Amino acid sequence: MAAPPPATTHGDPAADPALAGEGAETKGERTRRRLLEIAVERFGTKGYRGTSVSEIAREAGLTQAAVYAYFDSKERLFDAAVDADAEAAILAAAEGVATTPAAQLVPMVLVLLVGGLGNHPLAERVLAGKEPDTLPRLVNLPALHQLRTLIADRVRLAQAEGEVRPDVDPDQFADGAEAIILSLLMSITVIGQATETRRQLGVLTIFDAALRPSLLPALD
Amino acid sequence: MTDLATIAVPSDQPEVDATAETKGERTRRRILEMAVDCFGRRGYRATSVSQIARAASLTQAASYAYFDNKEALFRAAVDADVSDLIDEVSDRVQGVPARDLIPSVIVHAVIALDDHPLTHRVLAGQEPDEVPRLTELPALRRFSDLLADALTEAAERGEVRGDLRPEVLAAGLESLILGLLFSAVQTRGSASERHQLGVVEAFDLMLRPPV
Repeated sequence: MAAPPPATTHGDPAADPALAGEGAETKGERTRRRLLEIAVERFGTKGYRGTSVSEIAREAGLTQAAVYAYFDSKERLFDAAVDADAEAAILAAAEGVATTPAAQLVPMVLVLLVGGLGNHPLAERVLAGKEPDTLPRLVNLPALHQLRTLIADRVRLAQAEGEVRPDVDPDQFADGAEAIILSLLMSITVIGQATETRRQLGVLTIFDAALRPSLLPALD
Repeated sequence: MTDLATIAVPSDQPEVDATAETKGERTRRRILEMAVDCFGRRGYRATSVSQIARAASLTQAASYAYFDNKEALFRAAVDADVSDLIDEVSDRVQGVPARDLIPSVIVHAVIALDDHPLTHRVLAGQEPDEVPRLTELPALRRFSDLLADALTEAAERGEVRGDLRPEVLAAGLESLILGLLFSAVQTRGSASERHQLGVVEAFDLMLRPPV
């Protein structure tokens, strides 16, 4: 177990350096964030195997040993970088749907996530299956859970206003939406499926159908 | 069983007897069977057309009379394997109530993947160059049509909502099913129970009429 870097923690020396300060960013937090930024960029470009901890340390102006004070191992650093990049991608998409009607929320989140992946090369690498060992971790990503909460809250709100059918359980719908979003994101990244108009229209229609409070005018 | 041969015969093949299988069709089917087997076991790169031809008791040159190149053969093999899997799944979900249909299709497809190593390989991302063509597979289009038929019948029986065009619903459901299968294979089935229940509920909501 590595010792935390000096100058950063005030209390428990075993605590994560990033959690040491409250309010303003401490020097340790700043260093940690900088390390993550570099790690996202490096791992995103060259992948887990093609990147060494020492090159990340060098770019951050740190020794390799100093990096290990923040992240126990290359694996931990990689996982933290994936989480950070995925979180940034998800937060950007969440901001983009601030005014989207509930019935279009899920397809819109998908569109924004797919469109934003170009800015998140590490998240894209993982989704594209180029880091197969990391894929199962995606299912439990904290940021994905935030997205799920956002969907549940928005559906609940829309339901109270009569915009979503009353027989929807917002939490359960959000659980399903979370799983579906992740799966479509993976398959779209790898296969490019659902990029065809026929499939896009289909996905849009079924999510609208799931939430819309009434039937559409009858078909002829 | 399967109408694999009918699907696989391209329009530029020499005349086809409407009922009996011609010798050419038989040979073609045999090549495809061998291709599904060889590609499924060793993958695209490690398999040669000559290996497949030999397994089908043909010369390599003779096999090129049926498939222009290795890529075309691979794609036809994937289509045949997917098509087979779809037929098996369709059989197993006969009689399942319409609203349980989609989750049931996914569960049976995941089980059937064990017997379809070529499809499994593709979904697991082990054939990255060929994967982008997946969406063009005729078998998937046929699957979408099967779904649309099932939805039309269920809507007539009042089991699912009738206000949406079945083919549009089917296209959306097909995308979701493919995506979920893909991620189930990629994440090695690590979806939690919460996710699974949520997906079942979401599919039910898509199909059941609003109260």
